[in-house]
Amino acid sequence: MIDPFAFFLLVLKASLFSSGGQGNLPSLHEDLVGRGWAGNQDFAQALAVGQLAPGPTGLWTVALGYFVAGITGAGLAAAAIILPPLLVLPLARVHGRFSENTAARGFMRGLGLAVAATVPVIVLRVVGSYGYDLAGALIAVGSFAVLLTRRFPPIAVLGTGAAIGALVYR
Amino acid sequence: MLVLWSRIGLQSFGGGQSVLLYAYEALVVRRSWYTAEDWSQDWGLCQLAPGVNLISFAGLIGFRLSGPKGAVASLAGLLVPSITITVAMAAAYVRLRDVTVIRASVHGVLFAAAGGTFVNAIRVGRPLLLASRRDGRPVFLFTLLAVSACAGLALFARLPVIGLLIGTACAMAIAVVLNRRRMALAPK
Repeated sequence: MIDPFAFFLLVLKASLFSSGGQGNLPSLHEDLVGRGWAGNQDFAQALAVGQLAPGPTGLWTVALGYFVAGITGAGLAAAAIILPPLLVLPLARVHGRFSENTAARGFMRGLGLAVAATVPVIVLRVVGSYGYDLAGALIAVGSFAVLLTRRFPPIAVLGTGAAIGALVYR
Repeated sequence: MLVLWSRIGLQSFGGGQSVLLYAYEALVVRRSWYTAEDWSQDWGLCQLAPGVNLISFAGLIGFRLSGPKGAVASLAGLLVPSITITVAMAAAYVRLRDVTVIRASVHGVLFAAAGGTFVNAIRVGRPLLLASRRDGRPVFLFTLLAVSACAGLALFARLPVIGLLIGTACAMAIAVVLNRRRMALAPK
């Protein structure tokens, strides 16, 4: 059984010290897998639901919350990912001073780059828990290439992945 | 605003990137509640806030247009329907995961979604790398080194991730500040 308050704080911490919708993945992965509250496959499935569902991709954390502790988990996760981004409101007040600040810009640049560098590593680890095979590699590389062009709606790409999966993994 | 943002949120099955496009279309192009310039500037500001940028952005736009009430309405519109559907999909998956076809399709979606997360990483990282390149060769080389170190450490070392993220952010802040100082001292 998980401790709801601790779960909320872990998600809050992961979201507060990261940027972007999936930036909280590395920290959450470390904390929740470490405590045995979620497994690699929960993460992989939550990322998939987050991409399929409408709204910001960051809502993958809500799906993870559901897998960890049902509706309560989903609600706690939602609250914990909504609060940190709202820091933009006080930030907007001091906008002039803050956005000209070289150190602050450098800090956020470093944070964004660190997220961009570590998230793929963790994604490989969680998806790898399903085992790598040729079909999986082709779906991943194909989706990557197609999504990079921005020519196709992501939902069509994911749908194609689902269709191939239904044929290959049954 | 509530209705507008719900519509924006619900149109975006399959990814956050499209939320931004629909929102721009609805607020800047069709209604001109926002100028294109303010839009870019506020989106830039949201990159400086932690967590999901779209949540920052919806909150900020709502706040600018009609104060705290606007912020709440925008966020509720964007998030309540989307969160409900996300939870419903997660719940449906938990019930149906023993059905072979469902499990097999989700298995396929996982790999497609993994490809998507790599695209997201590039979209987050690329403009920041370009910003470092504009700062000159020393900062750019330092950035490349820091990014490789970060990926390497995440891959092979079991460091606390938060430490790694904040450490990189601090190192980058110091590098950028030192560089600015060097540029100021350099003869023109």
